[in-house]
Amino acid sequence: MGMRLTVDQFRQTALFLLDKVVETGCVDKALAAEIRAATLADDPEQVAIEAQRGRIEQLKKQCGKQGDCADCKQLLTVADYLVRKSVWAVGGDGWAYDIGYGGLDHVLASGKKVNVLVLDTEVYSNTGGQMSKSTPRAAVAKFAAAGKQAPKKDLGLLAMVYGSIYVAKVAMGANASQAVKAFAEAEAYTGPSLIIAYSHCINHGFNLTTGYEEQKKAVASGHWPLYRFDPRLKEQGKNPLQLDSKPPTIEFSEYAYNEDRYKSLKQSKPEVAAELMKLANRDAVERYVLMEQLAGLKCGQCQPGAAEPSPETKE
Amino acid sequence: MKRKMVTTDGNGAAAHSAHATNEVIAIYPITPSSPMGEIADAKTAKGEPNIWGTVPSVTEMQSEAGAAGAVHGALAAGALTTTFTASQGLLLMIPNMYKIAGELLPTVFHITARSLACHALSIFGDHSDVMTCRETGFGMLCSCSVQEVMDFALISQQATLASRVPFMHFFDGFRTSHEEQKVEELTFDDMRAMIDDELVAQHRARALTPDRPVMGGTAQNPDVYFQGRETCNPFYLATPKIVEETMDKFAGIVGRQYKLFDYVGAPDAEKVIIMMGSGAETAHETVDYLNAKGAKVGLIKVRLYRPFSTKHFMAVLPKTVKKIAVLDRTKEPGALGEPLYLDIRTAVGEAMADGIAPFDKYPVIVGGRYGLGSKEFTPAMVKAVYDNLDAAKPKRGFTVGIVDDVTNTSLNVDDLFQIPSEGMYRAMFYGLGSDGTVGANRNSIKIIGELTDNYAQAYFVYDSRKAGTITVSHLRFGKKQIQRPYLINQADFVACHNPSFLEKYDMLSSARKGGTFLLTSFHGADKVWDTLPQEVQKQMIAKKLKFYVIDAISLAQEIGLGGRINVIIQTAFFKISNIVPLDKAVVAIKDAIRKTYGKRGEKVIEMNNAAVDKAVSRVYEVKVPAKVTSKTKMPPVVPADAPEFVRTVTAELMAMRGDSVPVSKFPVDGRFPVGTTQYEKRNIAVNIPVWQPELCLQCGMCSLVCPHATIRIKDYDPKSLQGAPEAFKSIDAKGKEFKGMKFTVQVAPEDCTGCGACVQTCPGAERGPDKQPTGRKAINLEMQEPIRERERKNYAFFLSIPNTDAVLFKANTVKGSQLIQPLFEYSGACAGCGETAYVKLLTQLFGDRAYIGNATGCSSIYGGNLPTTPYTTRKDGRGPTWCNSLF
Repeated sequence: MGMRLTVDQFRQTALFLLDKVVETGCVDKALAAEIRAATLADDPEQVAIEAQRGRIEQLKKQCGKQGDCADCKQLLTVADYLVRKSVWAVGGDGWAYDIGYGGLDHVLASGKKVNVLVLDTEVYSNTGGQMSKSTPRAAVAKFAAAGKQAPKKDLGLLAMVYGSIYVAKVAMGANASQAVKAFAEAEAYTGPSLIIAYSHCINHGFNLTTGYEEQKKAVASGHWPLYRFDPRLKEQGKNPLQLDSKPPTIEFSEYAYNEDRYKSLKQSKPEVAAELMKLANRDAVERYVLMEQLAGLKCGQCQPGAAEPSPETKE
Repeated sequence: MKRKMVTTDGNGAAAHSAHATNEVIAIYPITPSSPMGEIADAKTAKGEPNIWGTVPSVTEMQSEAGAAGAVHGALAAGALTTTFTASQGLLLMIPNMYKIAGELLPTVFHITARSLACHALSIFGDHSDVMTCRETGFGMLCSCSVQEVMDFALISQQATLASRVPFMHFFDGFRTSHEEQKVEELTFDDMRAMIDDELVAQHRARALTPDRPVMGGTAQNPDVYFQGRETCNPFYLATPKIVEETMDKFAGIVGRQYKLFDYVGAPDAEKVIIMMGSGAETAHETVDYLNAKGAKVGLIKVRLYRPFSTKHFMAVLPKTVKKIAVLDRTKEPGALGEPLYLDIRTAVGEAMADGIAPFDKYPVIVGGRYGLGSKEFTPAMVKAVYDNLDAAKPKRGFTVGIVDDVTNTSLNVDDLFQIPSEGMYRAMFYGLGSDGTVGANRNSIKIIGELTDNYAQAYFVYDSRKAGTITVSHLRFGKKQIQRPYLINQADFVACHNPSFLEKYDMLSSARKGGTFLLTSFHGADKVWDTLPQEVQKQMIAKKLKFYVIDAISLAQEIGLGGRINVIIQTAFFKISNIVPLDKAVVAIKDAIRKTYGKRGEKVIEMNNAAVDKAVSRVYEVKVPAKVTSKTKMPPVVPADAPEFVRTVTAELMAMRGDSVPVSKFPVDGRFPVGTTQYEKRNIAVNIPVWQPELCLQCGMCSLVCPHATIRIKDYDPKSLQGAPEAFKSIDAKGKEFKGMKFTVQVAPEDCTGCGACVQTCPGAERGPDKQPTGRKAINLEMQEPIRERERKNYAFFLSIPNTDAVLFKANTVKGSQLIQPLFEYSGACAGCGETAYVKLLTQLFGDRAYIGNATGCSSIYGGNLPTTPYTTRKDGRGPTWCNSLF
């Protein structure tokens, strides 16, 4: 967040100085105008970025010629900020769902152009596999030796509620093009973005060679619905939420029981495991159905008054 | 009463006492304290009760701030409550710690004292975190050894109930917390005798309850806040005596006598060191040794640091003392000195003013720093500290254990100074991370500890990178308690679990003369000698080492254990060392296998048992020839054309010689050059993917999913093929945008970890005449060693081909994204990591303009852990700029 504030501030400073160096005659007016236009257009395409870099090189040359111009000297220290910068916060689920959630929520709510990539392993991987609020129900983790009782927190849904955040849930192994597209869209979006990326992990307890196969199963079970929530679609009268994965074709347990984090409870406490798995199966289906319903809403015609107040609260 | 001897580490010892004497436990993971929470959680999950017969509740919070908040609430509501933490985690607790102390709520926080993230993060040990909390009003009790951890965890629990002053009970993170020792286990009877139930009842009686309501935590104004703050004084004044009495009570019940300050050494010592923590054990052993040789030196181990009792301190300081060195394991930049030093100066000054000092002349007092971030602290360094006191003008504010050539604070250390090791067996194992070595060695010392009357100690050195790095296990056994919280440098037994290590690390320098060397090699007893580098052969001859070889890797693959060669080496160790009769050892190893792998199912247990049986007959002794015959030498750590910083600093760190790099070589603000993983050719893959062009769909999936950026694709002008190595593969490019171009998939053979994710994902399956898949794909795994050289050349050539022109393709497609150079490569993440491919994709799409603020976690470790880091730049020097941000 601090990085974004600095980058934006420097960009403003550079634009301010750009006007001054045109006034002083140090820099060619047409070049400055092109630079200003490109800076404001803020085109995320690589070709546009490289073209702007070329212009900034010229600008630096022109500024560098004027040995004693204070404005030129100042501009040289910030000229590179006229080229688009991409600010990313990267972290795991322990950070995003738990310890850093307050800060993350604040950044996403700020409207600033910060991109967030959550590498979601559903467990604290770095400290050796402790439960986080991303850990699914029925999984065994450290600090949850008896199996996690509560369902997984839906971080994406929480962020979507703001309405102004680009949110995507991706799993490279299940749909690679959707993942690549989500990265590009997130970065191009003018506001904050959040990508939640399914990340298989050594702590899940299976041979990681088949990690991407597991991702497919996580998606096929409904546990990890793929979607992109793009606020820009609202302007076109469309539902901003696009569901990118199909309805569940397998039970959650069929996916989960490939992994020791679920299997081990079945071995140590079969009855508890069966009970929790029943709930976890339901969690996965419910999660998918909720997304399906949200993605099916007709937008652009939202009118209040559609839902009846419940009889008890009617005045 | 005879108590059970158990093998445990400091975390296990603390959790044993803490779980048994509490009702509510609020936790949050942070290295190296997490195992305490894990053990407590596992005990509760199993229904293990505390000494009152109830099962403590264990709850994970969202952060340490949350854990401390939960502790505060639980205490206020009257439960016996504890937590475990370290480092910046402890710092997150500070706001609540003030409140807990201010409200005189009795609790013990068990802390694995750890460094703070300053110029860099370190998961290792020193006292920076606990020292930051001195002002909170918590008492501070320090344990030096694993036994003390178990004992002090109980003593502090009773002391806090008696004094109402909350305590930090701390011990050295990643030394005491993770050092396995054979200790005497306190029983529930001991604990019941120690904990006064009347005090527990009083704590409950003070609880907040609507049945007897009170107001706590009011807001006060200038008229009364100050007076209120002084009301706690009597409690702090009374605490030292309470802790002393508690220690005496403990001695009466258990037999081990501790004091607030323990003095060891000559009663008429002139030179005294004052310190706390595990380093005091090293100093203790050194003092005994030096005094036996005629010196007159002493040591004060500070146990109760807060509240500090000058009276008790003066009572143990010999009246003959003339010179004092105070050692702090923390740093306070800009201060007159570190905290313990300042306290000792004040204590001596005030004692002299009050006339209670045992001497008339103010002694020479100097302070120094040691052991930051788990820097080794050895007997030679202890001696250097005493030697400094002999100087005409002893250095003040010195450092010991490093070379400081900038402000010249460091003391000279005589590295040859050693304390003899008669009657002690020392073994070192160089394993590959995730090969199971550490787990097997942990079992080994339990076996030795339980089957013999030997004391045992084990400590494991791993860097904080993930799988595929070296782990060194240090095991000691002996008839006497082992008081050596430092690494072995003269081993009776050295085992090398991966033949490639011999080319990288000088591991035999730590073998003693006449010791034993066990090597894992693909070559048999008749051929292995000639495969060793000259440097290794020379040392083996000079040191007259006994040499054994075992092909553990092939054996493990044969049985189906993959890379987990741990029990094979473990069995070989027991066979060669003969510490326990082999038949007994085999039974014990199999028991341990059942305990360790029970959760994984019968098949895993059977495979491991088979490994034990086969290993016994596959260890061969090799006769060491009298002459060096090898034609190979250890290669340079990094290529000669690497940047200067990489050659002079990074390379030293990679060769495990980082300890001797002086201060002047390091950046002052912790900012390092990028793109250094390319110089660390780890060669950890047994098998690597090989491309079969005619089956390839040219989709780019292999490159996209690769966690380590070691499989790459390019579409390029056929002219670029000029000068290609003979074995370089190329095929006509598919797709109209690449018409007339060539296409190649190339693997970085020495950086690949061999996870096989690319092969698994590859859609280019070969089909037989019956149209069924043959199992072969457009990429297939082959043994790395035979093709390493060939592919190294191919990869170098591949990198020299210009990148595909960006105007030819769309970046936001799978293939397009993979035609862009990744600016995150060869990280230290686990083989098959599911996170890194996303990070790599980010750098391909936006790397040239990306700022990355990385929250602490796996991604900050594989992303930013020394010696080498994976973020790199394009040819024009642009690339992601990266910084760790804590939360």
